[in-house]
Amino acid sequence: MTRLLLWRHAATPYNADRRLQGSLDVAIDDGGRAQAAQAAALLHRTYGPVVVHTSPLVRASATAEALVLLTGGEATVDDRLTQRSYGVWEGMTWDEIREQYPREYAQRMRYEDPEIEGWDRAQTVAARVAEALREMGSPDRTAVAVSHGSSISLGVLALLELPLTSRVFARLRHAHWVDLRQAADGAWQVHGFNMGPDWS
Amino acid sequence: MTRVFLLRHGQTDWNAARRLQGSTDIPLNEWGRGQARAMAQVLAPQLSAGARVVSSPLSRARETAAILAAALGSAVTADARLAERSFGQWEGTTVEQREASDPEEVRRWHAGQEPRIDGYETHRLLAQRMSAALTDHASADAVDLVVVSHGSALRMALSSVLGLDHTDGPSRRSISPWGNACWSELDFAPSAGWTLHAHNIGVEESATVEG
Repeated sequence: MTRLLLWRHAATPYNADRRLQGSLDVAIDDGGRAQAAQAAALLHRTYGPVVVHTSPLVRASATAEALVLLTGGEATVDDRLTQRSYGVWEGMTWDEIREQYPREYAQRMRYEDPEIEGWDRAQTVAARVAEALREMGSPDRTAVAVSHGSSISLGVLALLELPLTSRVFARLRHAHWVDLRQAADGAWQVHGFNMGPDWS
Repeated sequence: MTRVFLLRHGQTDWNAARRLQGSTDIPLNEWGRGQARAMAQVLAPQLSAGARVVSSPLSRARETAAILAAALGSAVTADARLAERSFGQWEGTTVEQREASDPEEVRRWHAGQEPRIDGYETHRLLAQRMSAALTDHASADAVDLVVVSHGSALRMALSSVLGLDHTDGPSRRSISPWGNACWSELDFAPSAGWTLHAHNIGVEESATVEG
């Protein structure tokens, strides 16, 4: 059976501030590194040998590093796992966005693509993430894709063939993962959602 | 907004033997009781004071619920709508036995269709009673709610309230079954509907409590 874990990177100082990162390459801090280590240990105990792929952004690759320290080998960088670009909103907090872009903020709250410069549309992100996930899935070994909140959400919706504006799945916690399994008929199933150290 | 936890009962001897239980009332075994105690140690502290526990009347669910409720200082409310799906003539059988006796119906079942066997409860009926029960209890109060039920019933409930798969015609089954004594967490608000926050969370095997 093909198993795929979609693992959200550990928290950065921007995440703590509710500041949008998108394509900005913000590093995780000591707290994030500890979080990544704790999650990696649980993931390793639960799944054993895995193949690790990561977004090129350092908050993801540093999280991946915590896992390959335990599994051995290296994480393969896959640009398709990178975070969606938030365009001119990158670096702003949600409060600032609501104040300065009220119309586009409302669009975003409806899970639509806001009409701002540089925004990566849902369709585009979903397609590239899903393509990467389908490629890395194998019945021989569990694959772990270290990625980002939006990218993971859209990838999951694409694999489950749900509308990209669906709100049925909440955002993953930092350093937590989705466990997806592929049934014999090719359909993907959510075996676990938001699994990770917060529950232990 | 109400936090709703969907909790599957602990292990029974028939779970261990991979025999379909359905409406048959098989109790928890010792391993299952240990699982329930370990679950309560982890889940109870996450719940707010006055958290409600509602359970299927079948003893494997009721006892799991009672173990959690004891840790909370709550009582358990039984709700017959939370019982497991009836599997009729398949109750008590293993996969191998069914493949031998009803290969065509097993094929239909795996394809997400309804097997045509005596006493089987359909997706539609099961989804209706489970989602009605969930919505009634979730709407009644904003305090945390734990619903203790069974594998097939919970899967149909979750699929239904999240609008994931069809209940008429082939069912895609986007949510996989829960482990014994594992839970999911959702948010419910009358205006926004249901959102899944976590699925199939369980205690690591090594943490199962003895005694």
